[in-house]
Amino acid sequence: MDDLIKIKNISLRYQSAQMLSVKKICRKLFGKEESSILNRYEALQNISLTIQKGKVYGVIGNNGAGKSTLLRVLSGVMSPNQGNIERNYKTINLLALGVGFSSELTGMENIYLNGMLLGFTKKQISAVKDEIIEYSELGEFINKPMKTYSSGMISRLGFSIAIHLKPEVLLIDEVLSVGDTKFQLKSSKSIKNIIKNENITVVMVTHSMSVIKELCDYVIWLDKGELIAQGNCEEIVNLYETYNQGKISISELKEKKYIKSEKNKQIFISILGSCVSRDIFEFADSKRFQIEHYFARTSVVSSVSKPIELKEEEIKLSSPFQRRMVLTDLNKSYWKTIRDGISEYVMIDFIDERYETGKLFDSYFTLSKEFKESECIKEYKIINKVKKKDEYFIEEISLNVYLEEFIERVKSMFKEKKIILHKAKLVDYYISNQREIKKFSASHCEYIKKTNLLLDYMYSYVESKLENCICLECTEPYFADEKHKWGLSPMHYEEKYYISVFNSLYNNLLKIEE
Amino acid sequence: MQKKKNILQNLWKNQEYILYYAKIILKTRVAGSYLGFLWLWIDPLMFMLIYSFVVMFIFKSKIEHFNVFVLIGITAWNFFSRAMLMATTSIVRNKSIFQQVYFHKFVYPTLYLVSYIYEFFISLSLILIVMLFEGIPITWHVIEVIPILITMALFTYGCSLIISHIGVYLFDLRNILDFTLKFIFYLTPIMWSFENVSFSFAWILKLNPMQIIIGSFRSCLLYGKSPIYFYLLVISCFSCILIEVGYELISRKEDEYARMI
Repeated sequence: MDDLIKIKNISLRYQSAQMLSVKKICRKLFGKEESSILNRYEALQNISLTIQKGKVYGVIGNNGAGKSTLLRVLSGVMSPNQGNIERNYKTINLLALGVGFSSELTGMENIYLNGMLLGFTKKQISAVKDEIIEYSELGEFINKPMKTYSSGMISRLGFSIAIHLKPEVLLIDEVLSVGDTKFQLKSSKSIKNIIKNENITVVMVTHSMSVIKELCDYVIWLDKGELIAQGNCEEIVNLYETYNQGKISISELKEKKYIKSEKNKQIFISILGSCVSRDIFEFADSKRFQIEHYFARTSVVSSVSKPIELKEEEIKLSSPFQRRMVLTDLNKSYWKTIRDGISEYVMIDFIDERYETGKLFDSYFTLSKEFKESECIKEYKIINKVKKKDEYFIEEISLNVYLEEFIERVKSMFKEKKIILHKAKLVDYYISNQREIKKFSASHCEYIKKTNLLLDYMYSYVESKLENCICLECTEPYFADEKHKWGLSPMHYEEKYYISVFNSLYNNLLKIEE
Repeated sequence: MQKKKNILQNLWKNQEYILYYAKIILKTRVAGSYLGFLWLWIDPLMFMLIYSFVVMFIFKSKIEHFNVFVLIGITAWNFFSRAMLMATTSIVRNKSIFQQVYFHKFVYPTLYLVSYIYEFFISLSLILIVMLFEGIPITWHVIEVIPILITMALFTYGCSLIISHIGVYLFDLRNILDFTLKFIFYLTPIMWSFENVSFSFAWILKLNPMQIIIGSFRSCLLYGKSPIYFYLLVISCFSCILIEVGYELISRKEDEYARMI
């Protein structure tokens, strides 16, 4: 079984030992109200969770949410008042720093004391004590009493002892925030190494969202002892950030019950658009989304026309990627590939739309630069674009006809799939290598303006015809950035853009996945 | 996760920690001082010299070697009463530790007891020195101190386990125990002897286990006679029952300790 710990309906109450005292009796006699928090404090209320092998869990929440208490219950240090726990592991440790440290004793004696409390034998401690001293960087101080240490030194020592624990399940309680910056980096690195190399299960309490995004697979969010939300890292972190911005309240969250079962599947997306859509997933690091297929450089016109069969060897292009792109454009194999794939979602954008089309017999194909260079079809007719006001005419048939056919094809081929419309547009500014903001030439800007008008038209057309399609607006096209993977065209966006689109995608999918 | 172990298994499991920590307690007591561990000897020695002085010049008594008589009694009594008083808070004061790491809470009264055993040995050696000084013959019966010590340790252990459990819930226990022990101190023939004083209810006082133990110490140290093993055996059996009761109490309720704020 993969479930290492399963807790069900756990409630834990802290109690005051002093139920009665003379002071309380007097207060009662004089009619003063007794604050109940002095007697009982519900630290955990009806929590049910499963901890699975090999995964990293993050626990977040405000202070007093019950995070430390939850870790203690998981580790067996405390038992709950109600509920039951099933355990299926050999060793577990709560990374407790400096438990049992006595300030009168020397650092060395405290190493033994602490180590024995954590479960090491004297022999084991003797074997690693040199490593511990080295890691803590205490040097000569190790033989001085701990009352001479600064708080940073105490934390370092505690951490360097605890880091030698290699249990099956490791519980970490805000340990990564001790020490100075240099030590924090060191300790984070050690913890990350342990997590990656040893394949242990980790449950960590932290306030640092960056740590959670980097390390955690799942996140548990507690508030005042209750389980507010639980699920995949990105989901819950998004929710948490939304909550912190004041856009959603705890009671709303509780109603919506963002508590998912652990069987969170990966979401597969196929892209029939451009690298702008593909790059969303590049810049916004996501463990949950997988790109199943990516097809670019097609156009609405060519995608609905009859395929032209050609073999890859006949296409004279050096880059295999370009060869595949041209071949796919000619034989339109992407329709079937996407249809037969497992993706639930298909993302479409028109930013790669090739408005130059070639015609061979009854078939159309996009005239990309690579296609022309490939010399694979000697005879074809170039269809000229005819501009008439704001509409483009291709062979005197309006674009609408092609759009209509495109939508029909999408509907019939992708019946089971949901469509995501990424309304990407061109940008007329770019950032140069010297990080200067530059505008394109006037003629290019004119081209961009017209293209954006066309794109707007196409997107709104598609949106109106495809019910239930998910729209991702690029409300603010940020500047193009050098870091863009293809690095060549400045018409793509900075990281900020991709991340914001990704968040919008994520939030949209959340609603659907409910 | 933690199956119920019996006390012997748990003692064995935690022995390293208990022994190490008991030594640490002694070290802590003298930490930072100039004379360091010598204080563990000088303290009781000074104590004994003062008592000897007081006893010989102020409280004159017909009892032979009254100072050693008193010292034996006081040493044994100190062991018992200090262990008991420490037991009241032994679990509570370490709450921060067992809220983070799990081990059976009975470890705490145990290790304080062990530290007091170490101190007892130190005081015992000083008593022997004083005896040599006084010219009291030291017979082979001195070895018989061991079984008496075992009995005393068992009895104190049983009592301290129960007390430490109650102490978690009743903080007043320390104060109560303080004057109770003072009272029993005077009821125990430490500063006096049954021969010299007569009560109508003397027989109740003779039931006091500490009285029997102190009497046994005196007989083998001072008087060169074997102690009455039967009494020791009875006390030991009674102590084992106490230990079992205390251990059960702690085992059952130790979950609650961590939840006490």
